[in-house]
Amino acid sequence: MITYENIDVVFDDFHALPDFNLTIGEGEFFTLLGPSGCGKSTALRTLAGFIDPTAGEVYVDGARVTNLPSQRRQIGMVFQNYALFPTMTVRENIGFGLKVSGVSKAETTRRVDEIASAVELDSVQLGKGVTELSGGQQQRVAIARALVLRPKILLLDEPLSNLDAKLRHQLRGQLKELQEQFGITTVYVTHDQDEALTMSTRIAVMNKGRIEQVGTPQEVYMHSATEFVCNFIGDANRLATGTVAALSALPRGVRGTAALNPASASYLRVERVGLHAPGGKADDGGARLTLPGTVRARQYHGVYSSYRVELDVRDGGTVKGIIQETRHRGFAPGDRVDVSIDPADVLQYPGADAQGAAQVPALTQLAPLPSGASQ
Amino acid sequence: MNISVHKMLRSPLFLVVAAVLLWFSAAFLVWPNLRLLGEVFMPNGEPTFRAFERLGSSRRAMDSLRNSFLLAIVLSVTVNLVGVFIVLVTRYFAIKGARVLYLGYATTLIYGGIVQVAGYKIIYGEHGFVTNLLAGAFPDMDRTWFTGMAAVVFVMTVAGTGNHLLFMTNALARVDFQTVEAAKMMGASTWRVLLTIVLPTIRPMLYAITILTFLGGLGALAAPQVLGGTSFQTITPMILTFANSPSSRDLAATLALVLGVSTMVLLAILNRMEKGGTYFAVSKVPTAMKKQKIANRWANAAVHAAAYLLLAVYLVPPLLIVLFSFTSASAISTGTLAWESFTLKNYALVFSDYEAFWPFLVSLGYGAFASITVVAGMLFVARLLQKYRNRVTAFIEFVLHIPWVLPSTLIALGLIIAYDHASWIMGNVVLTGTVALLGITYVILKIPFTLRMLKAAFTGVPDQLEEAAAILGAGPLTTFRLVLLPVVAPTAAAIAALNFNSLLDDYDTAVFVAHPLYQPLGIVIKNATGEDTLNDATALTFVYTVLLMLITATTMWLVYGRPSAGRRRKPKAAEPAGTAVEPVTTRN
Repeated sequence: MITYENIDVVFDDFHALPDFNLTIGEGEFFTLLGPSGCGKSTALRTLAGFIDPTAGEVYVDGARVTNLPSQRRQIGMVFQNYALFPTMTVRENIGFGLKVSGVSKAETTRRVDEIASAVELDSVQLGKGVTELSGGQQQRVAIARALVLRPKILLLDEPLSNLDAKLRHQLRGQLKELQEQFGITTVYVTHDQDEALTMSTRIAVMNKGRIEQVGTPQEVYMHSATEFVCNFIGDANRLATGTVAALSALPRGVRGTAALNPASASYLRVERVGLHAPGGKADDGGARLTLPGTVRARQYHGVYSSYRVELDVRDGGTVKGIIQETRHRGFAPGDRVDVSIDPADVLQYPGADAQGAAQVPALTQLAPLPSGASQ
Repeated sequence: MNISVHKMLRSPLFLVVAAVLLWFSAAFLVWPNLRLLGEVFMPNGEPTFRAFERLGSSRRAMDSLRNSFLLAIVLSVTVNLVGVFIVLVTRYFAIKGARVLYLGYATTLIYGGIVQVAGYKIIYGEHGFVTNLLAGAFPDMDRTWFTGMAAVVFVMTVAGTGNHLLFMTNALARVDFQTVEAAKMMGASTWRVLLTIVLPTIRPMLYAITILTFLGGLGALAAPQVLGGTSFQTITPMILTFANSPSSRDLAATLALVLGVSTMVLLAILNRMEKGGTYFAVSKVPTAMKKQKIANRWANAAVHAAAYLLLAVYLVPPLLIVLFSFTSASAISTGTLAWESFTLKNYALVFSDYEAFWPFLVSLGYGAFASITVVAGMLFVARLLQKYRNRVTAFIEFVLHIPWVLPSTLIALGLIIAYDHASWIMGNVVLTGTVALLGITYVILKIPFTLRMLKAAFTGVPDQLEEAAAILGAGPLTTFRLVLLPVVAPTAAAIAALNFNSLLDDYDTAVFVAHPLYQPLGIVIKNATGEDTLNDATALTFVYTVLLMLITATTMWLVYGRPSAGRRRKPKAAEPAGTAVEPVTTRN
C-alpha cells in the first residue's frame, strides 16, 4: 500500500504539487491521468525517490520512505524512453540490478532467463545490443529489467507514448496481463484517457498539481466529479442555455433527483444523445426530452459517424451525437432529425463556468421555456 | 535541474573532487596570473606604471605591437578569402575533381604550427630548395625573397584555412537546401543565391572563424620568428626575447598582458555574437545540399583554374617534405634528385639512433601524459559541473576557462614567474626549469577544450539512464563506472586523441617552459631552421615532419573521417563527431 500524505513539491518558484494526498491499494493498477504539466510525473518521481518533497511524507506498506534513496525502496520502474543502457547487451541490461547487488553469476543467468521468457524475449534477443531491438522489444527489456529484482511496486512513466498506434494497443493488453500475472502494485502515468480507462483498477485525474477525482474508470467517466474531468475524459456536449432550460422543466429521471439548474454548466456525453428520424422511434421510458433539429455536418469514423445537429429551440445551440455504422443509412447535412435527451444523463457543475462559458451567449441566461419543447 | 549547494555538500565524491579542484585552480590558474600582474604593476611591492613607460620607449616593442595588429587584420581578410573559396569549390560548386581538391587542401589540417613554418622555410627560404632552383635560373635574384610580412601572411593564410575546412564545411552542410531551391525558383542567379542566402546563413560561423584568425595572428610566434626577419617581429617573439633576460622580464609580462587583454575583449565580442540568435533554419525536413553548377562558361573555367592553382600552392610543400625525407641533404641542396639519391637512411637513423629519436620520445611522452591526465581529471569535473548547477559550480567552471581566455604565452610566463622560487601554495617546490613544468602547462592548456567537450558528452546522456541505474540499486560511483563512462568513452577517447595531436608538434609553449635536456620536437625542428645550409639535421626534420603528419592524419581520420563504424552499433553513444561543430574549441 502506498500513501502520499500532505506532499508538497516546489521547483524554484513553481508549486508543482500543493498538498498532495493519495492512497493506492495493494495489487492495484493505479493510473495518474492528466494533461502534460499537471504534476502526474512529479508525483510518480516523488514515489521513486528522484524528487525530495518540500513537505509531507510518503509511506509504503506503512513504512516511511520519504528520505530513503531510490534503490532501497524496492521499486521497479519503466521509463518513458526506457533508459536502457546503450553500451550493454539485453542480458546485461536486465541483469544489471542483480550484478550491482552482488547476486552470483549463475543465479543472475537463471533469473534473467526466467524473466525474459515471461516477457517473451528469446535467447537470441538476449545477446543483442539494445539498439538492435524494435521499440516494442525495447519496452519488454525495460519491463524485464524492472521486474527481475522482484520489486513491491512497479512504476510506469508513459511507457507506451513512443510507440506507433497499433503496437500501443497490442502492448496495452500485454502490459495488463503481465501485471495481473505478477500481481504487483502498479502506478501508471499517462495523458491518454483511453489507456487509463482500459487498464486501470482506479484512476486519479490530475490538473495543475491537484487531484480532481479518484475513482474506478466507470466512476470517473459516468460521474465525472468536476467540469475538468468531464471535459478531459471522453467527448461531451456543453449544452446551451435554451436546451438546459427545456430539460430543467422535466423531472430528473426515475431516481427522482432534483431538477436541473439552468444556471449551471451542463454536459452530455455524445453517446447519450439520441438521434432519430422525425416522428420515428419513440422515447424509451417517457422521461426523455425530444427536440427537433437540423443536421449540419457528418463525420465518418468507420465504426460510427458523428453528427452535429442544430436545435430549433431558441438558444438551443448545437449538439453532437453518434450513430453506430451498422445498417443505419445515416443522415445527410440538411436532414431534419429528432434529438432525445434523458435529463438523468446530464452532468452539472454549479459555479464552474470558467470553462467553455465563452461558447454560450450571455444574454440567453433567463430564456423562457420554449413552447415547442413538449412536442 | 538545480541542485542546492547544501545537497551537493553531502556527496563525498563531490567533496574530494572539489578539494583537488580548488587547489589546482588556485595554484595553476589564478595565482600565476596574479603574480604576472604583480610583475607588471608592482615589481618592487609599490604600485607603478613604469613597465608601461619602459615599453613605450622601446621601439622594438612598439613595432612588434603594431606589426601584430597589422598581421591580425591582414590575416582576417586573406584567410577568409582563401578559406571561403576552398570550401565553396569543394563543397558548394560543382567542380571537377572536388574530392582531390579537398584532400589537397586538407593537408593543412595534418601539419601546422612550427612544422609547417619550418617546412616552408626549408623549401622557400634563403638556402631553400626552390630558392636554389630559382637562383640557378635568375642569378641576380634576392635570395631572401621569402622573408618579412608577405611570407608570414602567406604561410599563416594557408595554415588558417584549416578552420574553414573543419567548421565552415560543417555549417554549409546544415544550410537548409530548400531555401536555395526556393530562391532559384524565384529567379535568383547562382551568385545571388550565394551572396544573399547561403553566406548570410553561415555568417555567425564566419564571424567566429574570423575572430579565431584574428587571435591567431595577434599571438603568432613561430611564423614571424622564423620567417619575419628583422623587419617584421610581432608581440609573442618579442615576449620570448624579453622573458629570457631577467632585466626585461617586466616588459615581457607587460606585453603578455596587452595580448591577454586584447584576446579577452575579442572573445567577449565572439561570445556576444554567439548569443545573437540562430541563423540555421530549424527545418523539420532538411534537404541535403546539391552542388551548384556555375552557369557562365568563363567564370566556371576561371574558378577551376584558381582552385587547381591553390591546390598546387597547398600541396607542393608537403609533397616536397615527404620526398626530401627519403633523400640525403646534399642531394637537396645541390638540386640533383637522381633515382640513386633516394634512401631510407634518414628513417633508419631516427629509429636506430637514440639521440635522433629522443625528441620524438619526449614529445610522445609529454603528449600522452597530458592528454590522458586532462581527460581523466575532467571526466569527474565535467560530470560534477553538469550534474550540480549552482553558483559554486558556475564559478569553478569560469575559473577552469581561464586558459581559454588567456593566450598560452601568458599562461606559460605566469607559471615561470610564480614558481621560480619556493612558494607555500606549491608546497615549497620550485617548478621553473623542471621537467614537470611543461607537462603541467600542457594539462592546463587543454582543460577548457576537454571540459567543454566532455560536458557536452555528459549532457547528451539522458538523466533517465542514471535514474534507472539508481533504482536498480547502483550507487553514484557504480553508476558512473558502469553506465556513464561507457557511454562517453568514445568521446573521451576522441578528445584525448585530438589533444595528443595538437601537443605533439607544440612549439609556442615548449619554447618558454621546456627543460633544456627534455626538448620536444617543436623546438628541435625550429632550431633546424636556424641552420644556414641544408645538412643532415634538416633531413631528420623532414622525417620528424612526415611521422607527425602520419600520426595526425591517422588521428583525424579516426575522429572525424571514419564512416562511423562504432556509431552504427551504438547510436545512442555521444558522438565524437560533435567536436567539429564548435570553432571556439580549437584554441590552444
